[in-house]
Amino acid sequence: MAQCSVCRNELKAGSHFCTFCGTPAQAAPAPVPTAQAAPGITCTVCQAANPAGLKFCNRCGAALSAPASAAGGFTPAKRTPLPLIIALFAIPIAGAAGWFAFQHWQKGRAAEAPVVTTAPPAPAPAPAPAPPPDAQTPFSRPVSTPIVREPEPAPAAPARVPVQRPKLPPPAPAPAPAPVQTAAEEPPAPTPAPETRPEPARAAAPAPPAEPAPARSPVFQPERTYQPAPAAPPQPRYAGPASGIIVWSGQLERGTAVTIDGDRASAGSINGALPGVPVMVEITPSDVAVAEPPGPGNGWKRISVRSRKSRHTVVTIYWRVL
Amino acid sequence: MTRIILSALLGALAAPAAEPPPLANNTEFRVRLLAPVSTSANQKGDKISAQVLSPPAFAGSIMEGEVRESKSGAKLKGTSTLALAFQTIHLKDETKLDIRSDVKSFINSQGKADVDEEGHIFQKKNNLGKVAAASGLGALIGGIAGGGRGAAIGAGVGAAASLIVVQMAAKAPNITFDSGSELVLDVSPRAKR
Repeated sequence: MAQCSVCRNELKAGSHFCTFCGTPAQAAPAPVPTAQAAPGITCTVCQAANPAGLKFCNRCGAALSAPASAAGGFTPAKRTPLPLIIALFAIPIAGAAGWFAFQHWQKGRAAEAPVVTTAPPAPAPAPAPAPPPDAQTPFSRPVSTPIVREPEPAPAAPARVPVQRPKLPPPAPAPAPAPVQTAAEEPPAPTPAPETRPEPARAAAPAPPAEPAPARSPVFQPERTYQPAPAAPPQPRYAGPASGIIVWSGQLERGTAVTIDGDRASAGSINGALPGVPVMVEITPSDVAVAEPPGPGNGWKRISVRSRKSRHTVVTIYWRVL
Repeated sequence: MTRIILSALLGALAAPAAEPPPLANNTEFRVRLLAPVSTSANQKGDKISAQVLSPPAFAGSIMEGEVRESKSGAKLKGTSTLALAFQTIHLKDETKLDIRSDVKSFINSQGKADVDEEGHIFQKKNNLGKVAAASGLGALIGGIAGGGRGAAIGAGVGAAASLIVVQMAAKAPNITFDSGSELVLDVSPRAKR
């Protein structure tokens, strides 16, 4: 059998071109037996029928394309590297996430570890539970009080302490008569907690006692809340005159405003004051402008007047409560 | 602690601040001036205040604003212009609402519409001409300085510098409104910055 000079592919008898690489065959004796060829792929150039699976036409050497893409000659399937790119990014991210999770888990374990480790040595110094006021590793698990006496785990513990603190105070007031009311509010809390560490809770942190107070205050609050409610509408009903007059006299400089605030004026002399409630004002002479009327922005206590001429004059402001 | 925080949060949620009544765009308001305004005495920048008469949801609230333009006409033959703009509504519950307003019409203290206290009939106009002129001037300066792009920028700056103001104009030496005069306004809420 003849071989292709380039790729060494075996050439079928009568082939003009290598069916693998398309290189023209050296010897081209017999014509291609087109009749024998299976009706696989028809060459788009010479219309010769080629068996399926060939890449180049047996007759003319033109690249054979799949039936679907007959128009476009050789169209190698484009494989987008997207999955590869995604994989390249995803793997390190997943690795980092895993590492982070592992670190986090380890930290959590390290934080919990002291409790476990301290448990064994604890039994020996059991008689002295007082010293560890700072330790406060009252996790939910270590129910037995003596275990908690280890002060070393302090760094990890403080964060959790405040969460459980509020639960501790209720037992503390046990001796006092007051608990009767608190017990009514939270019946289950007092019984189990007091055993754990009633004394350390008080001695350790003076701050927590401040919290329980407000927590218990709701008992008394109802009485107080009733009081503020009526105090809330302290809008004093205006009981003054419904209208009045302010008389200002002095030198009005051109374009300069004179401000009357309450019973005082920035210039000149004044008699009267605004009532401090919503009013409507009139002013004479009419060529004196109200540059700033009384309003909510100034508490209804201020009015500014201005003239376009410099003159010594008397300005009368009439006000009427709305 | 957690309980306290939670209760505080719930309390804050349960007792929200009083919501002001909803204000739709282009709502017609009728307000009453609480102080006199005139072109002969007032000048640009003076404060004005008015009490809201309607709509009922806002009745009794106080509006505050300012004189945007005040120009007296010539004694014999001239046009006076007065432009007012209200910017804030002080509601009865002491909350404030920022607004935009255009004056639609005036009713003087004697109840006559579109006539001032002295009987001068006035009409509504705007300063679009001024805006156009300012835009053109800006475009000219911008064009000289920076070509086509500069012209565009200049036109924008010129237009922005001369905001459109709706004015009341009357062929009279002055426009005067006593306190108690009523204005019909077109009010819209102003977007918060």
